[in-house]
Amino acid sequence: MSGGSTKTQVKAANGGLERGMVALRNVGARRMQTFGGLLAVLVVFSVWAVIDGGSKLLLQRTFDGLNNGFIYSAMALSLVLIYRSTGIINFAQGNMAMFGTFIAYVLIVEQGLSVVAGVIVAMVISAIGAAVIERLFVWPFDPKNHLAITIVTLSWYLIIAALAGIIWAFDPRAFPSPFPTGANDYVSIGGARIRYASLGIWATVLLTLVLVTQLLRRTKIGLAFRAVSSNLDSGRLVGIRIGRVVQLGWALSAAVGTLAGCLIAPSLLLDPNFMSKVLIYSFAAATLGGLDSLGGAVIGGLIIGLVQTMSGGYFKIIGSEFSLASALAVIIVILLVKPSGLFGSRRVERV
Amino acid sequence: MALVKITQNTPAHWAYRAIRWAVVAAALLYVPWFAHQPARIDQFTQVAAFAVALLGLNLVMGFAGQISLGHSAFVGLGGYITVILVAKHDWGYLQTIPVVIVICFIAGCIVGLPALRISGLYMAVVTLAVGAVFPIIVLKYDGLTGGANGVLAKNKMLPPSWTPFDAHSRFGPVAYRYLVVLLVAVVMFVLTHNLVRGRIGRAIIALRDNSTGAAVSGVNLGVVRTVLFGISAALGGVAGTLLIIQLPQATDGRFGLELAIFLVVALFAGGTGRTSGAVPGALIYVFLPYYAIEWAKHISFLKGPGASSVSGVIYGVLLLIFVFVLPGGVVDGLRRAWGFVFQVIPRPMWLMRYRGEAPLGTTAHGGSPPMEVDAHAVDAPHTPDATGPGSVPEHVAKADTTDRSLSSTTNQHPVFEGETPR
Repeated sequence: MSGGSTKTQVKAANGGLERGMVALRNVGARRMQTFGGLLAVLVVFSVWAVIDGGSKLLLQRTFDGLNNGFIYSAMALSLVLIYRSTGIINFAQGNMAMFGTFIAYVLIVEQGLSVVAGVIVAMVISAIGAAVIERLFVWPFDPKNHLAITIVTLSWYLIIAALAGIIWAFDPRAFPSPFPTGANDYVSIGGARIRYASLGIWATVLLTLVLVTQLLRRTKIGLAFRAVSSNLDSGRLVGIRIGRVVQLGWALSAAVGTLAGCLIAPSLLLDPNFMSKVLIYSFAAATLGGLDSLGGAVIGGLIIGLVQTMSGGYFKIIGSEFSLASALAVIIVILLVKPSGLFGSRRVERV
Repeated sequence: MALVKITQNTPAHWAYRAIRWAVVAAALLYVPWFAHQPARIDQFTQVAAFAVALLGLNLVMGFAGQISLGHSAFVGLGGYITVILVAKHDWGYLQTIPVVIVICFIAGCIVGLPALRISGLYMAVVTLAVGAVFPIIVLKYDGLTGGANGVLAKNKMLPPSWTPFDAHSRFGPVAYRYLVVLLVAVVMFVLTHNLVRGRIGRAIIALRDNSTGAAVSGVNLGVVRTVLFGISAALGGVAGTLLIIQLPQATDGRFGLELAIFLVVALFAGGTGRTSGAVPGALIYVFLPYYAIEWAKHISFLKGPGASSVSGVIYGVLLLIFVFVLPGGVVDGLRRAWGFVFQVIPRPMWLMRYRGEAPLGTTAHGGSPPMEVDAHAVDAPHTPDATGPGSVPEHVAKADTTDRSLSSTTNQHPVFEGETPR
């Protein structure tokens, strides 16, 4: 009697388990399809590229692409942080990063701080600045009034660019790199060179990603942040102080943006427009990864960087001028297949 | 509340409307004499041209609630088509407009196609891509577009001999070009106004405010979205043609991403969701940087290379002020201010027909209609014998104000369509 009932229970449990496994497998399968497709394209391309130019060239271009990609990732990360806290794309992000980099420049070159200290102080200053901007110009609006907040970011885009132009004028300046940049500072892999500076950038961006993710995963304010970004009203109902959390998002984002600016400034030259092109690529990267996914932003940045370098290098028709166009074309295609990016959460509209 | 009140559809109201339009027309025609210098007239020509571009942008942003950062590409496309046809194939400037409209319409529909699947901020990034890529394409195909040197049409638009303008004076050609551009712009405004007020406009607004509801009501979302982008792009193209009429030179820098962003800014300052918002927007776009730089010349610490940046600061601060104080833009502010002076008490035609009144407002015993009535008098029947089948229940009479209140509330704050991540 009792044995029979246990048997049925076990059977039911097994059935449930099986159904669960099938469901899991289906989820996995859908992901696998997307990534399988991407992987197939990658493999075909790399075989062709090796035949076309040899493996050394392919490796070198991969490293160059990754180098750009990590910079875009860092900027995309800062865009995603604001998107998750405020629900908008911050058009001022590039110029905020530019301004932060200028602050670092002043601290390092004119005040004589060490490079690392200067960058960190500049990150703190820009975090405070962004928190102030958020409190004075974003907080007064209803968080759902996205249009108004977007216009606020557009106006800060204009104001910051113009202020930098007035203060520092438009002659390009060299920015010191925090990493060794001597002629022999590289490791050689398969004949291709990775400079220490590049390795430093990759490590810094990955470290930032880990730190930000851990902050959001492990801390209480991180939990509040995730609650706010997943459902504002419920977050407010359970007693989260929305203003605090949004402010944190802006501060974090500005700090990450300034870091990205300081990482890229040594390879470009510093002037008030130097982030504008980077910003377009990072918009693309953030969109590609899905605007609300931190990891997606990094992967999106890497894809954009690789596509940009490869298409410019391997396809003569495209050439280096068209690499921006090809990167943007890739996003449009990917968005057509997955309208909310590779890792973005899909919105379900309730009627 | 208002100082002067006029009832709708009375002779006084018609006179008011006629006077208003006459004043507007007179002001527009008087501009060349008012401006007094050729350079200033040129600026007003630019205003008319940019107003058309903003009109197109407003369709997408104000009426459909979709941020577009790629409108510079359509303006540039129109401009390049015109200047190439004029400079290399000896076309007349105005003859190129139909070609520009067709090509830009098709280009806009192609850009609008992704909007079928992509929406909100994701679509904004797609339009950003269009705006960012256009200058690159121009530089790439330098055989056709002249690359970084651009295309220059040597034969400027000159007044023909039958016009009263002297082609050889300083003023003649400039004033003539202003009037031509103005005429084209006015035609575009009238067409767009009709489009927005009609069935398609209602469909667009429905799509912005509640796309599901619109679809349920029989609006074909795909067609409306795509065609809307097409129309908006066609208007942008015409604006490009007008800009080329004003200054027959096209370069990649003239139609870069900067233009797209400033168009968005100008539209918000002017007022989204109303066709008239394009005019103050264009005025701000053209004159604000000019006067900002003039002003900055007088301030000592702003001298030098930074002086041109001052307009950026002023633009930004102005935009912030607008968002906080006047979220509906200049047009909305003017309307509200004018509302204190002047009020038209609604009395639409259908209500008069329902009440059995003659259109002139004459009642059964031939009394003239009240010229000044307060709002309550509209609700009440005018004459004792207008009761019976002609009398209107209170709630129906109230309903006649909905037409106005609807258009003023729904148009002010375009909602971004579906971009809530939370």
